Amino acid sequence: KRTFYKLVDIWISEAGLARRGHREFIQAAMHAMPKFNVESDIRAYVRLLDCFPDGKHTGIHRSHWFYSAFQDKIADHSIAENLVSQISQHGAIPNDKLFNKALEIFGKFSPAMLAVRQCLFWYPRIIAFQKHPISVSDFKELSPTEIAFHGLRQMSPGLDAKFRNFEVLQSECDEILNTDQLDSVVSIQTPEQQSMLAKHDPDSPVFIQGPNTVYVKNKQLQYYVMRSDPKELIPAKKVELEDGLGYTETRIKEIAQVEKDTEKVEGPVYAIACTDYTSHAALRTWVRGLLEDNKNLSLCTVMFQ
Amino acid sequence: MVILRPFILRLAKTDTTHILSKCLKNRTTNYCTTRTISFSMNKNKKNAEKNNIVVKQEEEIVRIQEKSVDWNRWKHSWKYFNMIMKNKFASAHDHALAARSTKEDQIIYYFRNSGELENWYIMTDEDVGARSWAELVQGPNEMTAAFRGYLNNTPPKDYVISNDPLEPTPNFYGFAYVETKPFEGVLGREQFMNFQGFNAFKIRLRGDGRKYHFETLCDFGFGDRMMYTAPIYTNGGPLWQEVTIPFAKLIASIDSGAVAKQREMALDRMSNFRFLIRDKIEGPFHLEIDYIAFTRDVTYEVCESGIDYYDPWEPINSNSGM
Repeated sequence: KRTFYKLVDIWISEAGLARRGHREFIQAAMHAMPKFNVESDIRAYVRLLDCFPDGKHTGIHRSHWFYSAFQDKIADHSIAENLVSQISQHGAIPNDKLFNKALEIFGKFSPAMLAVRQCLFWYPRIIAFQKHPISVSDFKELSPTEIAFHGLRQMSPGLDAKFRNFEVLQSECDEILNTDQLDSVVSIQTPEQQSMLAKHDPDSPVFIQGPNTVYVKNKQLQYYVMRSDPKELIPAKKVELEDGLGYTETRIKEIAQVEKDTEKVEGPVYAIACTDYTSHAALRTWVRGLLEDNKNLSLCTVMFQ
Repeated sequence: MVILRPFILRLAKTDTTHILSKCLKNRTTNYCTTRTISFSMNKNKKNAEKNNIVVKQEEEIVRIQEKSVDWNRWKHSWKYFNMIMKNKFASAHDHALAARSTKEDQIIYYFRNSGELENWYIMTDEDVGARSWAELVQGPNEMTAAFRGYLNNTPPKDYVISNDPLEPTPNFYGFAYVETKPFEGVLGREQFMNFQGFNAFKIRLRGDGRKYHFETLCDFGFGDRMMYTAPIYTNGGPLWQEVTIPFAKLIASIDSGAVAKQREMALDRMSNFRFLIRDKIEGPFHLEIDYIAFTRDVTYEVCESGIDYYDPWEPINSNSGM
């Protein structure tokens, strides 16, 4: 990454105050950013804005809302537009420094500033749709266990969930994995799932369903589910509340009639785990690890699907 | 000497009298006076019972009953006439509005039968020349619809990469979407849905962990159309997910890209729903949909305008730019 900043420093020192050839250099640098692994850093984009020529009489600054349409040097503004679109593509987080530097160079009434304003406006509002946001540059530096943690937190949401990491000993399991893959078993269980497991009949079996895939940002994870067959639901008691105003409304509720149809067909989920192993020996360590908190599991039969 | 706090008095009424008399002999406080007054009142009641004195009861206040309305007389009035005429000749729009106000939720689509899949059609890259495919099938539960396929990011042969560095062509990413068929009325005229009376969408999903877009199409008249999108970041896994999307959070967009000037939706004229996937990830995708419904949430009534996106630079954004 430092070589990229060195390149920019060398070019600025070689080119004079006029900065001849700045358009070609900026476009070449934008194209070469992924090779230096700098695409998701906002500091590189801000440093590239220094390559534009400074000064009052360059002809780039736009200060009037009407005359800006008749001024030349449109290429500089369009290059800045492409630069800002590349920021939003690769997931860099826009800054106040970007805004201020572009204001000094391009002026308020330029199309480059429009792009910067839109980038700064929409970035937090689109991130608000996510529950657990994480930036692209931080996600690249995560280890496989941390990626599994993010995936499991995504799959079974809840603040009270319990995460466990179980080691798989080589004496039990003969499978060999690469260094990028996950060697241990990461499992999650919420207190609701614990209580459901405690009520489970030991006569009926508990299944561990085979490897499924989940996407976490760009990567795929492999996970297993502990589950049982569906059982007859006990209808909940209706609680009649008193209306303080003495005024009752009868409103039709259609979702409540349809919400629990899938529970008749699909059974309840008791726990989820992430591994890269495919053998049953690695999954036995998971079951043994869950015996601490769930004592009803020792009486149940566990079957692999 | 220990000074007792007042809350202890309430716990044991009988014992505190002795404690008070011991501790507060030298003091004259209000506590002693209240006890004396209560004792005196109790004494009067006991004396009254002994002497068989009857206490007067309160007289009930009798209110005059209001006269009921003589509907026979009001039949020929203007108000009553108006009410009848509105009910008889009201449009289906007004009837639907009144019926909708009595509902908390309204389900638009739920996929319990395979016949309901005919309302949707699929569109992918193949019309442009790329290689991603998709299908809409009844789910494994036989109760839900599954939208699944494979996305491919290879560009079509027609997609020419320009050598002009000032106008570089953007990278090509595959897409696929499922859209409702438009409603046709009399003589092929297009009919629209009405969202009035409700505040938000509620969708029950089970996805991959990938990002899908939920979109609706709004027709402002005279060929002016705009898609309103919202991203859905699905949790993968075996558990079902419920998503609430208020109308104020839908983003006006063209080609799934936000527009600088946002404006309100016309809730009277909404025509389509769409589930779109345009991740830059190459691979298989899988989305199960249980139901799509309207709801009314009072917490989303904060913004008076129909949209939650206030941009203070809007007058400058409209004047500048080429």
